Amino acid sequence: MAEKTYVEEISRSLYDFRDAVNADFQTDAGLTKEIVAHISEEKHDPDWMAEFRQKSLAIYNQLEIPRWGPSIDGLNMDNIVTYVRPKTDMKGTWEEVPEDIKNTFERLGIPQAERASLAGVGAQYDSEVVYHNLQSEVAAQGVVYTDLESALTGPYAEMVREHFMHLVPPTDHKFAALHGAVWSGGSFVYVPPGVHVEIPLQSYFRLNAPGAGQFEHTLIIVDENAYLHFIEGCSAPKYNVANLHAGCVEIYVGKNSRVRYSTIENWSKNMYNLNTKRAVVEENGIIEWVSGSFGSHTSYLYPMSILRGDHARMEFTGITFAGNGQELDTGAQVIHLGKDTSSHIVTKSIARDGGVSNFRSGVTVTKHADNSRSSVSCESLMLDDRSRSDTIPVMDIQTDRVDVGHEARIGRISEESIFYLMSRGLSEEDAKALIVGGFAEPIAKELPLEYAVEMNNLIHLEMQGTVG
Amino acid sequence: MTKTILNPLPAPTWNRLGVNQANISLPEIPTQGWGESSTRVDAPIDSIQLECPGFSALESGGGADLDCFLRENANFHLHLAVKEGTEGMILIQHTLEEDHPHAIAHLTLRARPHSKITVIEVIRGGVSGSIHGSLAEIQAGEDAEVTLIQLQMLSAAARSWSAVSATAGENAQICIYRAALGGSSVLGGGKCLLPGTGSAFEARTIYYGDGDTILDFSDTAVHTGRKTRSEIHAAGVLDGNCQKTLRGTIDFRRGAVQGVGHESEDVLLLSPDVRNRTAPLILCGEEQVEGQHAASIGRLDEAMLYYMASRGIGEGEARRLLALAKFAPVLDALPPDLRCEAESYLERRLPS
Repeated sequence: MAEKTYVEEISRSLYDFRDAVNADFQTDAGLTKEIVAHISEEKHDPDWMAEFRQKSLAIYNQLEIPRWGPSIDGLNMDNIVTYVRPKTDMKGTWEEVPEDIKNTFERLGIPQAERASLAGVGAQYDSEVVYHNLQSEVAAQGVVYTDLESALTGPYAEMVREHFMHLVPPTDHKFAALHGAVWSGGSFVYVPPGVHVEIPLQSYFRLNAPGAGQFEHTLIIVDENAYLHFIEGCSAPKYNVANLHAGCVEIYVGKNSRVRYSTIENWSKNMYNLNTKRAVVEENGIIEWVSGSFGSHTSYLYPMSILRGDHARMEFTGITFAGNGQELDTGAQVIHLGKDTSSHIVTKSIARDGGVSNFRSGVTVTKHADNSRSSVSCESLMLDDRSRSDTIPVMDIQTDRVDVGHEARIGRISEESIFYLMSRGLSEEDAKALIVGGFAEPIAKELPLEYAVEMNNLIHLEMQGTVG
Repeated sequence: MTKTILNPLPAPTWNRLGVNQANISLPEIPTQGWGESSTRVDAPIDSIQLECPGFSALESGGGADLDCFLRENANFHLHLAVKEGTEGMILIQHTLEEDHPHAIAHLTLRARPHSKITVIEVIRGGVSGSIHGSLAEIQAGEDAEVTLIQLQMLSAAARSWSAVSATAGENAQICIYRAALGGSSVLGGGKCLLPGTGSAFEARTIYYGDGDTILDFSDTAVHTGRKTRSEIHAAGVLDGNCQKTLRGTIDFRRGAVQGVGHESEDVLLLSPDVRNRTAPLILCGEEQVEGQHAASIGRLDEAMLYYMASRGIGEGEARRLLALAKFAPVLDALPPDLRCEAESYLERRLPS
């Protein structure tokens, strides 16, 4: 009798190491007015921010948990520590970063990547940014890349206040409200008009403390005729208790500007990843999302693009790989407001070993978005009969002057393809590995080389046996 | 009063998109009751038996609330069984008129093994406050073929709710053809369970909406048996301020080995004020399946209009012909006289 295809668990040894928890300060578990006030006090919030946090908490308490996505019953906010400050303040050189934390980022390859291929790096450890640096040449062009707390009170304070949680207001959903109440860490980026940041910036988020939450806020403002590639990475060691990530990314893409936002999400499998990402794009602007989702116990992740200006454009390229115990609900949303706007969504998802990988999308073309175009394409690969993959796309079209297309495909590795490759001399295992690699290739080629290698490591598959 | 849920999306999504359930409520029950319907039935074959109700069917695509309403308020009942190995056709005609403004039909149909039956339900007329309702519960035995065609040509004064639930046995085939051409508020919800090995479900919907018409459709194929097939296709034309929502779901349950499902929608938009919502879902709990869906939404193809102009067909006529072409998949399944009637009805309704 034929043996079923067997796909091995991804080796997580690169990411799954723990430091001893050695916090300088942490709040009690749970979410109360007092805890939120304590965070404000510890972070020396300006008055408006302290007030904003309390209002967000009130909204959080009013809103219901979403009823349409994967279960988050295993997440009990009473057990989550929302703020953990490591025993260091932010440093500008790796030498100044405490040894244990520096070793963590060394093992993750962040300083090496900075030396090799990045214009600037921010590194967050639990709730605070511990390292931030920007190449002097880039800074000389007027580019600002710093931690958000510094920006709150520095020369860009007013700009931060004007933009912070305006794209993702706390009323958006329960976990946006949670974020508004307890956010900490994250980065602020400002690219002045006409500046092209040729080399990417990267922020890396590491959550070490068990039972903690990470709520970093990334605010990116790219002025007119500018370009930025921003890379976000994240990981955590696995614990037996639930951890929570409810970060928020807000991106403002100016007229004629282009922003590429790449993410390799590799949280541990005890993580609830309830992240919110949103961009607004002005006339002739372009937002490009490249997203790889591999980790987490449960994910809700659907970057939204608001195409406000005429001729604005959005491209989303994503891959999701769900294994045993994971339910990853990912996809993208786009709202066409301007005329002649276009969106293009391409996703691939793989489910194996009982994992659940869902694709969810929402395309809205509003009444005045004449001559808009949208295409959505999603492909799902099921690697065994214990896994699950649902495709839930919705299109809401409110005008006739549009061209909207959608296609989806779901299935398994075709026996004919394996047979063909074997007839050309490949072993069955190699044939399957080649097909899965080819399935993910359109996404990998959108990533910088070193991140494509990381992604390939993450979907390293070993095949054995024959087709069942 | 408890809020009813009609045409629920099998896997809900963001509420802001407005597709998790229909934005249509159940009709109020008239104070004087529903009265009698003016339904006529032609069943010119002796292979059909009357059967007692008590037919155990699954929930329709319209949802439990709609099923319950239609069952409890039906003013026309027809419970049929088709004898093994026989063929036949039944024509059910509802005309909503001043004396009989309401027709709510409850049809159960058991097609015994190797039988073949076509049921055509024609709905015409419509005066102020007219209501049409239809609950069809179908069981197709081994190798049986059941085709249900619903041709709705109501006036803008009438509203319509219809629900279908079906179960297909081994190698059975169930086809639901729905032509929703009139009415001011139209809801259709179908669901077919495919437990029989080799069973198949085909749902084809055509619709036309103009003015302030609200159209809401939901069709679901639940694959549980091996080598099952489903084809869910819709096409339509929207004009005026019409709002339309279509949900199509292919649900591959674990064990539906070698299941194949396709769904598509082709929507022609004729007005900048229409609203078109489409939610084509594939739910997959089985590895060895093939599922695909595709949608195309937009205006008439300018290249096609140019080509037709080059062949001497004026723009207005070309637009009418291309719009009419959208309806062919269902009109082609009608007997010639009903097809002519439907085409005439559409000719009158399509913008010149």
